[in-house]
Amino acid sequence: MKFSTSRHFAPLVLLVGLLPLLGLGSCSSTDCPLQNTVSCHYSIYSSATGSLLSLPDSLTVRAADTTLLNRIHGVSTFSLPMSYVRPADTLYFRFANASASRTDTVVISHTNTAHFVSLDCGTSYYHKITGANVKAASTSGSLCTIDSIVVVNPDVTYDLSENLRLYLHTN
Amino acid sequence: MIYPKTFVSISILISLLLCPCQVWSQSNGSTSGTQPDAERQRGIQFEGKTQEASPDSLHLIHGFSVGFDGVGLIMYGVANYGQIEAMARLNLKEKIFPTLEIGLGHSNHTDDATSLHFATDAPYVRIGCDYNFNKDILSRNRIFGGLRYGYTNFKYDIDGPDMTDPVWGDVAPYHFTHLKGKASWIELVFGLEAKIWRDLHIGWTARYRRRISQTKDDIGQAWYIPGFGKNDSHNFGATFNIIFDI
Repeated sequence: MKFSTSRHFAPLVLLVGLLPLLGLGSCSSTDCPLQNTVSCHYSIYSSATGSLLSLPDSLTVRAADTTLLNRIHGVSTFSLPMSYVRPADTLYFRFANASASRTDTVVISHTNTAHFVSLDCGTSYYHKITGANVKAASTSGSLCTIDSIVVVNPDVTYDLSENLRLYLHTN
Repeated sequence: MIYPKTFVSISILISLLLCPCQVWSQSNGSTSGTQPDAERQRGIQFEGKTQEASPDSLHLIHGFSVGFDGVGLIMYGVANYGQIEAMARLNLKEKIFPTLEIGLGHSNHTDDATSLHFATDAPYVRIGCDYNFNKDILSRNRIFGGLRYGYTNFKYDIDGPDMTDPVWGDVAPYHFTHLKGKASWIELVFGLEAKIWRDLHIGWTARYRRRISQTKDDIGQAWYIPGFGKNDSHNFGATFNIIFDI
């Protein structure tokens, strides 16, 4: 059957004109990230062996007046938030067992950059770690203490990869 | 959301208004002798059979057209984002149509859920070529397939509610202006174009757009790219063109 364009052109133009009814007017998908929390990811290593370590004592982490972690125990990794606009965060790591406790002070320096994905998604701030210092309490006693901190990945984003390594001195 | 609803309404309205015009135009055309009528072929033919035109019988540069995107023009005025777009093209033997499209993309949109606001007003350009698949070139109705390359260099603003740090209690502003972006993309185009009256044509194009590069500010990519639409690796779009053959 021969197709006559002159006879069928008006219906064809009409048909294409109705394509927006099928959602083709202008459509695209929205890809908000499923992981939408910006956190700094820590791993715990032994300063003696250099291997991954499970926390031998309970650990409580505080910043300002907020408790960020409360008595975690036996874990090798954890995550902490970073301040949106401050150039450095001061964190208090309190190690404790049944008979004693000790607090080390950690200062994480970082830059902050606002992050935008889409109007449909939430807002956040990304960070780049520029330094990490620790002021450890005395190494005497049976409790573990922070020996050093190594920056593995300075970019703190939605990514779940390791950012900092805490090397613990254990007795 | 205003844009799809408005676009659908406008599309239906324009289609219904123009369809009778097209039918009227074609019915006039069938009596003008340019198209052999099946009934006329039964009897004695006093007129010579219309010679079937071929591209070889036409000049290389057979004409020149200018036009604009009618829906985009309306969308620019009433919707949260849209574009003003004009086009110009050469007609090479009624088969090949090198095309230039220039427009001004516009967005001024606030999301109801997040209260984030995005604004931009920037020009864009597309260059490409269409091929007319209609063998009946005398009808001046056209069935297009084509390709475009698009490019824009633009600035954009992002505003949102201030963020309060849940731990340290600081307030972080979320207001950014004059962010810079660039983008390029390609488009696959399918279109239909019908002669309405003399040198006036209307036509639709459906377009598949694929982004091939973008430069974004540190904060993040633009939500809307002028000429491309909502920012994604790809999207679909459509235009309604009003075209004048010169």
